[in-house]
Amino acid sequence: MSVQIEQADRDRAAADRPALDPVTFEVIRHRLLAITDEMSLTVKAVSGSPMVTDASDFNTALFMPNGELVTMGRWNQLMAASLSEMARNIIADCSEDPGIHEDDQFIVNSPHKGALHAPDIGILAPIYHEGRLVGWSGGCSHHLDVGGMEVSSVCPEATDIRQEGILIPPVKLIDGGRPRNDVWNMITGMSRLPWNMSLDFKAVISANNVAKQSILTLIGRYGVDTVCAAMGGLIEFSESKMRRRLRELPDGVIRAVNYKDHDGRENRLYKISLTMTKQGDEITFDFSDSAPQSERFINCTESGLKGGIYSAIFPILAYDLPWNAGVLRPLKVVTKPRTVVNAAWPAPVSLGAVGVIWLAEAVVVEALSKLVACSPSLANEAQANPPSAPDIFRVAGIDQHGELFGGPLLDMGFMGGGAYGHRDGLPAAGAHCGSQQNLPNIERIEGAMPLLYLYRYFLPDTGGPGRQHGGQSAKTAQAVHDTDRITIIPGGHGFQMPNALGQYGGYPGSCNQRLLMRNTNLAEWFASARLPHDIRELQGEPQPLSAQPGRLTYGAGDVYEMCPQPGGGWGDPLEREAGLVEDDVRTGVVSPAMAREVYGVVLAAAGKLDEQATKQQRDAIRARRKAWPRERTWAAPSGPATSLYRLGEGLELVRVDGTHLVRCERCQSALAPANENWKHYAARTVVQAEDLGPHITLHQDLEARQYACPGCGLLLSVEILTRDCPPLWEIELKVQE
Amino acid sequence: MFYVGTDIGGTFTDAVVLEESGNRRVFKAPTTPQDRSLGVLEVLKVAAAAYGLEAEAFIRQIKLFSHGTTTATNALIERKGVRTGLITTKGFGDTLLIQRTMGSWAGMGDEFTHYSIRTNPAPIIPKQLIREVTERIDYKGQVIVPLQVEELRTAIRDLVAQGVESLAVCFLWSFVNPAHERLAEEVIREEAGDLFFSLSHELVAVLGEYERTATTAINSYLGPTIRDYVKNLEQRLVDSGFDGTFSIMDSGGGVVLAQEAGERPVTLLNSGPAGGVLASVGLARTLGLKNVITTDMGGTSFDVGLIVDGQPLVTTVTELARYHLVQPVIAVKAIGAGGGSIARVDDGYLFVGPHSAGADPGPACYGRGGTEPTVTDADVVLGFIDPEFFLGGRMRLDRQYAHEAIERRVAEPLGMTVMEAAAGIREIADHQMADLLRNVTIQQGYDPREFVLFAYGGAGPTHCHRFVADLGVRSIIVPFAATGWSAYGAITSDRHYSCSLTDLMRTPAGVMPSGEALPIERITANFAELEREAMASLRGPGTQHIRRFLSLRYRRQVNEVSVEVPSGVLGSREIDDTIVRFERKYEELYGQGTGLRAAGIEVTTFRVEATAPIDRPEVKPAALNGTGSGSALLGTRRVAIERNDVREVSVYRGDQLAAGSRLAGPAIIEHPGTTIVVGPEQSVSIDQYLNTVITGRSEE
Repeated sequence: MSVQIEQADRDRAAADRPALDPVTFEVIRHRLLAITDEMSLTVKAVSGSPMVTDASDFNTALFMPNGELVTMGRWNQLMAASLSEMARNIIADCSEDPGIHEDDQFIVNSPHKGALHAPDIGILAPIYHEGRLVGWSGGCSHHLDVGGMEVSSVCPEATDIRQEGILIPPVKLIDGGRPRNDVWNMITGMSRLPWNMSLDFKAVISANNVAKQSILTLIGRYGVDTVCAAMGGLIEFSESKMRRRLRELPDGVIRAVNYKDHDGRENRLYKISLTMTKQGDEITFDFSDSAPQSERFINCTESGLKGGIYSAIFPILAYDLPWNAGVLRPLKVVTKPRTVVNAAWPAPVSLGAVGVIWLAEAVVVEALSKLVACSPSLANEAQANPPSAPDIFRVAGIDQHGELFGGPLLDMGFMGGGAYGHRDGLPAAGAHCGSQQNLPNIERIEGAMPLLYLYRYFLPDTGGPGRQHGGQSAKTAQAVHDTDRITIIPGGHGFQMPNALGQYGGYPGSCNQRLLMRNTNLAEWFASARLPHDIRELQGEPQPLSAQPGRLTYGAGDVYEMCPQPGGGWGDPLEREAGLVEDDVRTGVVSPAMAREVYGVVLAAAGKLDEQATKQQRDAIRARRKAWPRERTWAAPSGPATSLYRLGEGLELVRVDGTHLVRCERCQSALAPANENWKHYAARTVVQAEDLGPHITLHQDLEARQYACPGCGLLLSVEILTRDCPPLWEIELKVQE
Repeated sequence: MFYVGTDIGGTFTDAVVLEESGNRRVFKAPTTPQDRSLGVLEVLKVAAAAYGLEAEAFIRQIKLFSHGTTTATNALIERKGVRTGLITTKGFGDTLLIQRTMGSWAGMGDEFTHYSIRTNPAPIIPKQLIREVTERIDYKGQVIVPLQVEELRTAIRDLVAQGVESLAVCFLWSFVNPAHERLAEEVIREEAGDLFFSLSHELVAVLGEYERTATTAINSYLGPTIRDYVKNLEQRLVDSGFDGTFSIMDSGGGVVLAQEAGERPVTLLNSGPAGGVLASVGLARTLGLKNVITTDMGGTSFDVGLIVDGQPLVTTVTELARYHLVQPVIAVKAIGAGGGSIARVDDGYLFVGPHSAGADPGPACYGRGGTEPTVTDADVVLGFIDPEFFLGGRMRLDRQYAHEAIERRVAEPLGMTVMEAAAGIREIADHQMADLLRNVTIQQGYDPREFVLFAYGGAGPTHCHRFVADLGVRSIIVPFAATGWSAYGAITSDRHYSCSLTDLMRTPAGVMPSGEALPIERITANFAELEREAMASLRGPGTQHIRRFLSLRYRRQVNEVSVEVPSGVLGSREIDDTIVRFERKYEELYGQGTGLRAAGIEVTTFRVEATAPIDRPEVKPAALNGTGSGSALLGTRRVAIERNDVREVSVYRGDQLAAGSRLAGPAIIEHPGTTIVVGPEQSVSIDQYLNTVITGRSEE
């Protein structure tokens, strides 16, 4: 019902708009994007917070009068959903009482009113011209602390959202241009860092003032109708491009599954399950089959889920379009209440922003990639999974200068990216949801915190193997320095589930890794003028850590090492050119053992490629794969085949004698009828974690399966699912001829 | 005697000749990418001919030859430096490859959101030539593990055996305690003789190991190349009889003597735009202007700099060739909007840039096979540029090609007339530039109404009357040597040396200002050390002028502000005063109430900027007796001065307009390298230094 009304509104609005000439439109388009950038610069300048400036955990936007996004900054992509939903909720909740008027600004951080989690506070302002509402501006930023049980307001012990910091439904913070100091003080009074919070408020309020001035100047020059028409036109521009792209893609159903291990209390798996249906120029993302909500903080609300979905879509389908409501209009999201992706009040959600939301992004990246990979014009945008398991590492205590310090270390950000069909994943590419990451130098950290780093270097065998391999992650280790002890709070997932899954036979990237060694002899090493290249060289007591071990004391002699998940691989590793693998070994991307076992590449002494032995090894591996058992066989029709779609890599959909079937690209042999999951007909085996690489661990409920072409041994899929799950039917195209 | 400034651009090599009388003349010759020194010699020949001299006779009379070159920039972008080895702290050999996770998007412009086309930069130093050695110093400068000399020796031998021609050394915290890098220097000298090398603490003694490593690595990578280039050029000049002073433009605020350029080649990177800003600084001083916006619109980009209180704005970290350099350079912000920017229609929408037709094939009107319409094509079609008088008639443009390109690629797809389409292309480009101008002024806390705008570069004077729209600058000045402005900067700049060091100091939270909480002796010692270094570097004739700067920030905040510190003896009063000025400047830049006083203050970087003047003739003011157009009026032509506003506009020969001439807009003033457009509501005068001054609002 409400959807129909919105549609009618939009049609009427479109009909009311004057037609714009392309020159004026382009001039105003450029200006609107520039205003959005100016807002972002303002937020960064005024805030000065490392969360905003270094981690880029913020965003700014302009909106239509009805709250639809017109433009958005290109910082934290997850916040696209927050900003849209916040605007919608402010309009819905505040229009009648307390009323929306000129020079008001509204504040909101409730995860049920748009925020990803409570630390993300948005402030949005209506823009009026001569009494007419012409649009909104707004910004959202991650605050260092919004109260709650735990410093920085991510609360592993919480069982109720009300323990996770102050929750602000849409509230008027600026009334007709005057700050409501009573409300302001009440909110900042809940933070452990009220000064910083105030400054972050001022940052977004200033950005809104910049937006208002700039929009009014623009209106002064072009007239209110023209500017409003251009704002609507900007949405329509993105929408028409988006829909055209979607129409170019085949219709069908695509499925992707990922898991979050550990909920803060128990090491159990939570399934994030997506069934994506693309029809015509629309896509539906159905997450109904995802796990029931947790009692702990790993959940997200529906706006958080949308954040993950949108963040996946922008770089794949809207890489060259203004990010706005036009990109989002063709999308529909379906969820079941009380699931981990749509938690019901009062379930805790504070970790969702770096947990389930990232995994939602991952399954959407995976499914969309499978879809665009079927289209020759968009296939280059398809990728293997990005890393989606940030292992947040917070430190707190007394620093070397005798003062309190605290905050996250961002070493989890040195993560490799997913592979593409045309190139390897990029090493240390950073998060998929933040397109301009710049992590701090070690000298900067050591100057401010009582830590001494031992190394930060690329770890071999991290990026998922494949014809194109995933990008490498960097491993870091540090020890406390110039203080007795501090507190560390590690917390993440992906230790027993390699979330960065590969595509088309590419392997997953490694799991998150960490190692805490207690009471090491590091001081002796220093005294004897030695530095470890790996903390395993030290003597000490390794302390097993769960994914969410809570607060730990970290003292002299202790050392902590971590290596974040990298990107997944693309395509069968045996298809990688042997000379490239030789280079990979030389540059420390791949170990000789991995080269031999996974890539089938044998290196002789001095790392020189042994071509003969490599051919034998690769033939042997393919022969083994061909011998894996098959669940079903069939009598394939024979005759000339007409190619219909390339299913990414390795398989294609063809028509033979009126029958649609899936066949192997490499040997052309018919694999399965198209109306069934081809995996039932493929050669199949179950492999152990160590077969996938030295840094992979699998949760006891998980199983890794490999599927290969029985005709030639081409590896077609590496699948990780719970043991009870049947083979996932990844892609089911509806062929129209 | 002659004083000659040269600048090698992408298309042309410019020379500005300053005569003993103070007269100036601009010359151009094509750039010769294979061996750029040939283009330099060629432009000197062109200049010599204009003076009726043989090249050698001209060169013999050159007293000062000052050179701006893109050789360092090109060698870096094209990865044509030498095979270089890097030595660094054990455990941190990948610092240069990890790039603080910025490698995948740095330098991608607006395309950084297109993930699939991201790549990491081609390495300056491949992994195989990076060696880690055991050594560790902490943030206080305390040695945790002493440098293992034998390990270092092996590493150097090994790299030399691998054929490196240059070495870079960057250890963690070497800027606090350089002992290990100094030791490395000794061992390099023992093991590698006179191999070129750079030490990070000598080059840039500032915090941040990635940027410091990148800067040091790039310096070593370019060092031998630049040394050879300078030697080669100097030899060619000397062979022609040159025995004057040879200096080279840097990017930080002046020139360096040629023999020193090969030691710190990183300071030469991006010196072209800096040359234009420095020329502007000189002109601003002559004209008594404190605040200037500098704009340089050439073929491919639009570069904007700011002069505030007579000083160019300086930035400390710049991205170049997808790496990040830390060194103070004159801040210039650029967008891809130039005469060569390509217009295209996509799905009924019109876009201009950022892609450029460059110099080859160039705009369609060049007639070199370019079929895509550009901003210059629009300027030709609209009548702003006379196809017969481009480069003073030395290059003929083809209006028909311009017309056809716009017709086919823009007008027809959009259902417009060619004139409408051309006006649209121009309008879009002008607004993109206006948006950048707003970005660097209003958005950085500067009020454009307090500024004068300088417009130079081949295309700048043609567009400045429009791109200042809405900005509200006081006036526009097209400098006399606008088309050779960077070369002019080379000849008018002083010798310059800049150095900095990081020494972290903090005041406790709560008390402000709290200068007495800072160690004055250490502050004094740091400046003394930097001043010694600067004075030593600028030894020679002339009085050295030294300025001190301190970078401060609120604790736990990221924004740094650099403030000038008084010279002379420092006491707590001076420090307090500095902190007060920091707070004031912070609020000016970031808004009222943004200073987080409660947090306390952190001192980060000490910087000294030193200059020493170079002896050169003064440009003398001319008598303001020009009365009007007189013989300068060439006639009129039809110009589409605005969308739907085509009129007959008077056209003047610029070199015939005497000082003191005044004209009302609209008008077109043609110079050999550029065409100045004066808008309908503007008026224009020629000042006593032959600059063109445009005043009045442009017609909206």
